[in-house]
Amino acid sequence: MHTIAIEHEILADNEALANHNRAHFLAHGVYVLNLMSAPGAGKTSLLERTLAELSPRYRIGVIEGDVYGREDADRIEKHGVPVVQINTGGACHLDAHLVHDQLERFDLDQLDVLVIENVGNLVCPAEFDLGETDKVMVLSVAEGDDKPKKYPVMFHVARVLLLNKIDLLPHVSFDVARATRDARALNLDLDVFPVSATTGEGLEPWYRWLEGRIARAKAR
Amino acid sequence: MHEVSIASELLTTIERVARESGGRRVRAVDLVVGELAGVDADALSFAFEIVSRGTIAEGAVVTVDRAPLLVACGACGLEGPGDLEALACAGCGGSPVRVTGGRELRLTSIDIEDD
Repeated sequence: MHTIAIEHEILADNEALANHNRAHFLAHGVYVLNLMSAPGAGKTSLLERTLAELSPRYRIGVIEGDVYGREDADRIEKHGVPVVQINTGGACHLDAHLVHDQLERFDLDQLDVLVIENVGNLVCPAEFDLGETDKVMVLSVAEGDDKPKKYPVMFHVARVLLLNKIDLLPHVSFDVARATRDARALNLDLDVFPVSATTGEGLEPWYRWLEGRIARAKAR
Repeated sequence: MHEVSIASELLTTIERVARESGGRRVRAVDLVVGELAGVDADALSFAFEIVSRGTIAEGAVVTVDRAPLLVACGACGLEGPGDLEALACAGCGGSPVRVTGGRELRLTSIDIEDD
C-alpha cells in the first residue's frame, strides 16, 4: 500500500464552472444575485416586490430553483420578465452546473440583472458557488432570532441579509438587534436591511443598495 | 443532504487519481473538513460509502481531520481560535471577527494498493 498526496479542493469542479459562469456574466455586464433562505422566508414575495420596483428601469431575468413544481415561475412570469424554472428533483441546492445549463435560454446581452432564487434551505446552498455577484439571504422574523447561531455558515457567506416580515414583529418574539449582531459576528461586511415584502416597509434602502451594485456591474 | 453531492465530486477526483496511478484499489481516503465548512463529517463518510459501491474506492476507509475555526478578532486584535458556539473570538469573547480558517473542504491523500 502506498499513499498519494493530493491536496485537492473537493468542490473544485463546481468552483471552476462557477468561475466560468461568472466570467460570462462579467463579459455581458450582468449583475447576478443568488437569493437564499429557508422555505417560506419570503424570497419569492420579496423578488416580486423588487421586480415591480426595478423592472421598469432594468432588464431582469429570473432562474427559479425548486425541488418540484413551477409555482414560483408562474408567479414571476406575471411580472413580464423572462423566467426559467429548474427542478432539482430532490437535491436541496442549485449548483454551478444546473445554472450553466440554463444560461443559453437567456440573451445576456439583453439583461442587466439575473436573479437566481435558490432552493429553500438554510444549509446546503451556502456550499455551492453559482458564479453570482452577490449572495443575498432572507431570514423572516417568524423563523426566530436564534438562526444565525444555529446556521452560521449561511450568514457567513452572505453579502446581504434581508430581515423579512417585520410587519409581524408585534406578534412574534424576535430581537432584531440580537439577530443582526449574531449574523454579523462571523461576517464583518454583511449589510442588514429589515424589510416587509407585505407592507413595503424598509424596502427603499434595499432597492438603492441593489441599484448601486447593478451600476457597478455595468461599469466593469 | 448536500453531503451526497460532495461525496460524488470526491469520488470523481479519487477515481481519476487512482486511474492515473495504475487503476489499483483505493484503501483509504484522507480529508480535511473545517468546522465552518457546513459539512457533517459522518454524513459525508456515509455518503461516500454509498456512492463508492461498485467502484475502485469501494470499502475505502474515510478519515476526516476537522480543521478548527480560526479568526482575526476585531476586539482584541489577535489571530487565533474562534468559538463557533458563541460566534466569537475564543481568546477575549469579542465579536465581530474575520474568519481566517475553518472553511476547508479538501482531499489531502489516498492510499492505494500495491501490485
